[in-house]
Amino acid sequence: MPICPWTGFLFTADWGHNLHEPACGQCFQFLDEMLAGDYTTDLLVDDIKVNAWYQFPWLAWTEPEELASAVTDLFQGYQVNIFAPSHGNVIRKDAARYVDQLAEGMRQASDMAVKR
Amino acid sequence: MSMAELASILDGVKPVGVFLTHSELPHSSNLRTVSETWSGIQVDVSTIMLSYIELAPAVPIDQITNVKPDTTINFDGRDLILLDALLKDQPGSQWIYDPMTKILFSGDGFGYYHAPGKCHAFSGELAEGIQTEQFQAYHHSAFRFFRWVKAERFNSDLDRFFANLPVDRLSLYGRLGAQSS
Repeated sequence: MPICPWTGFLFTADWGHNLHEPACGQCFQFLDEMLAGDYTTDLLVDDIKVNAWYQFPWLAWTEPEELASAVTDLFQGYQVNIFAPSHGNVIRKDAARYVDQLAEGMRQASDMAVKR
Repeated sequence: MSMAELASILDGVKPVGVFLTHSELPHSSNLRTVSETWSGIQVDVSTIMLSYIELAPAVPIDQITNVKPDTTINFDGRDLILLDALLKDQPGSQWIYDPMTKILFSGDGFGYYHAPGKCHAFSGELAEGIQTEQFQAYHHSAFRFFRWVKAERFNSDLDRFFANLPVDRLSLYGRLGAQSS
């Protein structure tokens, strides 16, 4: 995941994206614009969970709390201001405000994955 | 493998099918050349792969077949089983098993770093064999998620996979390992 140390721009590729409606012109909205409409932070957690669960089958071998801690540690290690997943709405400022949702989404994704 | 090496191995035989493990660049970037060299070649990929996006620029869409994991296909009288890959960096990755020879084509899985000049060596031709550290270094690099993986959980799935599938040989990432599982 590349990060720009000057701007705090973190490009997260396949991780941390939310669902949105292309037909409604939401592809190029920022997340705060989505949240000003019908979208909610609860939906954001759910989207992060479902997308990670689908995208990362290896979550079945992980521990939910460790995944959540890894997200928290990431934001403690870097000053992230802009959060840009490939497939979701960009968080254009104060991305650290969403660390709880990102961590909770990964906790739930790990918990949802099959544990044998 | 270069096209020249592929042509040399085929020795004039026209291939009619490609069984793609996954669409990542190192594993599929010569697909356009393959398709142009041998017109009409059929490509089998997992249903989980978005082939109409990822492969359509390289191969005509009507030459692509999406196959569900755990499907047995009969290819010129020979069964091949397409499996959901256990180790993968793309959700649409598949492994291919040949019940007749008990060879598992494992894509990215079970690779290892080898000495320079040993790219085409079989495992039995490596005087020093393959050390655990070589497998470990490769997998930590290829599958960065292992830092969060609980070994006992992964090993349990690995044991279950091989318990259900008699594998004599592994064909992995361009090298054939003549080792019993």
